[in-house]
Amino acid sequence: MVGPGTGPREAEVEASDLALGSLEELYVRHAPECVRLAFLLTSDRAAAEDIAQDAFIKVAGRFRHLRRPEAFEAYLRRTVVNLSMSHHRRNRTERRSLAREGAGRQIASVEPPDLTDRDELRAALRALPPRQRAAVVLRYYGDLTEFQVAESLGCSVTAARSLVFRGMEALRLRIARGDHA
Amino acid sequence: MNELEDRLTRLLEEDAQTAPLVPEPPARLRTKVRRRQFGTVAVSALTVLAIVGVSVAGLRTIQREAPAPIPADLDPYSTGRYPIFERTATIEAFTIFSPSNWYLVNQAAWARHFTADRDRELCGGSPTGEDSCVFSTPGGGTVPLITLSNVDHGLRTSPCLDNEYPVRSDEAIMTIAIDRAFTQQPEPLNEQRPLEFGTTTSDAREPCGPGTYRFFSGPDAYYLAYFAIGQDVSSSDREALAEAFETMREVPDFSTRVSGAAPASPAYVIAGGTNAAGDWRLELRPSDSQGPDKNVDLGFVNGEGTRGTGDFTVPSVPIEDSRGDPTFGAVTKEATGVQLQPEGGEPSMPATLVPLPPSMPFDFDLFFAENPSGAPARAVPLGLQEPTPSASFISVGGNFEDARFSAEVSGPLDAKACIRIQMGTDRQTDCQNSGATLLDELGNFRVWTSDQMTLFVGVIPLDAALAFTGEDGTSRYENSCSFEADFWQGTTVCAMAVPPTPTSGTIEVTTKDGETTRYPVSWGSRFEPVRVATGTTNGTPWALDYVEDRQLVLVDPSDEIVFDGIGPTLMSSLSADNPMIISEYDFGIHGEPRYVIYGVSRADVDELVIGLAGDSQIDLQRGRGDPSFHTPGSDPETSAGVWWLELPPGPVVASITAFDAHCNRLGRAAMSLQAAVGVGIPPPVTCQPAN
Repeated sequence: MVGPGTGPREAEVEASDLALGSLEELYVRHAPECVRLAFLLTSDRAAAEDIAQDAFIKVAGRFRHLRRPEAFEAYLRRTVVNLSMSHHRRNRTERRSLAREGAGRQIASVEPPDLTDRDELRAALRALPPRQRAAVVLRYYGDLTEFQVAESLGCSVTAARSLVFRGMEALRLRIARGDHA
Repeated sequence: MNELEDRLTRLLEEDAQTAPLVPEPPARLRTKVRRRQFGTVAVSALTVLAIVGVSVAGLRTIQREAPAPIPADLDPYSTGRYPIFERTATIEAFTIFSPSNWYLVNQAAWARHFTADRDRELCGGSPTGEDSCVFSTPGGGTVPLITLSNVDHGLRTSPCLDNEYPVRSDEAIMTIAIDRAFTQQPEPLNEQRPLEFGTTTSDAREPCGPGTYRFFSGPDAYYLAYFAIGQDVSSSDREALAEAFETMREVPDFSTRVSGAAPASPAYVIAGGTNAAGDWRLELRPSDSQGPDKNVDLGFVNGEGTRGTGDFTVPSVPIEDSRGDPTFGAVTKEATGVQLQPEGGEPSMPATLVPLPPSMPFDFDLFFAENPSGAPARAVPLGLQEPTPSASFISVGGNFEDARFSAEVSGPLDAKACIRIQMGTDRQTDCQNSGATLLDELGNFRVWTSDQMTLFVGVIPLDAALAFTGEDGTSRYENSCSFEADFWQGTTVCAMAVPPTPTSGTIEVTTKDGETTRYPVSWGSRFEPVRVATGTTNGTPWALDYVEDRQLVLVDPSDEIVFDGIGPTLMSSLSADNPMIISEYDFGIHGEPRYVIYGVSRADVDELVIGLAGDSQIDLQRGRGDPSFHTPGSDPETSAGVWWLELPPGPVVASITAFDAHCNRLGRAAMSLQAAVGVGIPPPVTCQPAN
């Protein structure tokens, strides 16, 4: 029988708090980097926060099944990338529509004369396709190896290398011709 | 690092500092995690209550005739050789936790096929859920999906399909089935706890025979759980069966469940888990090949598809599939275990040995090892007197114009070789991910480039001389190679650095006998993807590009790779049975999937036969007489065929089988795109011998 002091409700709260404490530690340790990565991938502060939180919720749900908890960071990074890709996919139709509507304005617009190199590069980066952008960010911000980039993107090393290569080539091209809108 | 890369790195670091800071878990996160944890702990607590309830109420055991299908003394776990672990397996809409020494069988695809055929035979026409004839058949309109038992009955039987199912006196069995004839309103699965053996359904319907029933609703259908417990079942087994049901849970997002590629045959589920791509399971079934080494097929299944191999030849090939997480395969029983050994000196990870079930009496064991970090590693058998000569490590290096270069090569001289290179400050690793690491032939050089140098790494005979001559014949580099040790059967690894300028030239390997072999090489910007196919599917243009390292990738209109990973691992793997990889791309337009599947088949594949299940019932063949299905493009290096097929929108379940010119089956793959319950099973594929 289950006694009053050791009932399921009490056990439940105690165990939950212990586990949550551990999760909070993980969150404090990893969340800022998650938010930064998500922000670099989406350029959207609110989305970055949501993605970081959703990533933790997803990974936390699977945490008990990780036989190697040290892989948590890799799981988390990949989840952030996946959620960022989903964010882009959800907005794809909207962005295409906006791009069509704004095409005339973009063609007619003139680059601000005080546009700095940094702004130019930032705009060119944002204009990259999502996976190319993710590959470039992971490679040059995260300082990940090609293997880790591939792992985070869920693709082969060759494909990751190709994505980084194409991304950098596109950046060079867009900057060279000022085509970064 | 060049100027653009410097600027980019600085920009990203600056931008990252402007991202919002999240110092502690927000309430939303806390709430959601608590909710998940509540569910887990509550289940555990309720399990305790269920067990207490069982002990108080007693059990009404089910007694039937008990001809033993598999002798008890063949229970492999009785030897103590195999560890018993909690097996997590997601099958259909449910994740089940069960002890690994119980037999978990995925019967979903087979049972759907079986019941559909039987319904047609007994009732005629196209059976529906309202057809009273269907409900009068054995099983009363149930479709058993999952069976868990402490006794191995084999794969093709179920108490819900066979009125004469022999429940042994020491057997405890649970079957999860679709209930097409529900007559009461089922409760959600979570409301069905705790389980009390001995209770029966309120309407006394017993479609699977006498026993205990639970009726519940799932995310897509109504289900029943059927339990039968023999009179001699131990209390621990009763508890294990109850706990398996109590802890069973629905897949939260049913659309992303582990659907896999569902061959029409049932399978033992020997292991499962979660990796970076989601839930996975390992399925074991009898091989349907016709080869002399026919034994079993072992397949990895997750939401993205399947991979696997079979007809194991052990111990000569102790590792059969190391293409991802997990690594799995077969090993001789003479081995005391298997280890996954990281290449970088990290601690080894033990693999889990799993016995074949008694119904598969072959003389080897299975194993699997999780490697969630994806760190380069190889699996090696332990305890063999003459271990497989696969372990080797060599490091070579030197200086090129004040920049240090080195190459560390480890592992066997095949696709599992791992290469780590350093070119000045640039470090790269290429391990076990693609044919890029293949060092399967003498003089098969890999090329890396950086701003400082181009680096060749390859394998040449001991005592051979190495040289490189540029394409214009004026630049020549010799003796840049470092030799250290006998790497593999009289060969050694060589690393040679030359200027980074994009160019091409010839590598010359000259043996001590003066015999020179020349290998043309090129690198740098000369690499251009080759477009082998283009198409437009439902208004969305796509293309297939053949890129370096013998890879075939699907690209979108902006030339972005949207799906890759096709080709090299299987084309280059000496042990792979599968002739191809299948892939898909959801174009995601208008909210409906449009699919292109594509792949690369081995050179000796003469015919591919695709059987699609579902309403479409399309059979398409590659090769003979169907040019639309076989691209004119092919890989000149391997003579492999590149093929693709556009599919209509909607769920697709397909099996693809490759035959040689004599209709010998070379291998098969299967796929499931947006699979849905009840879609069906791919029809058997046939091959017509070439004239």
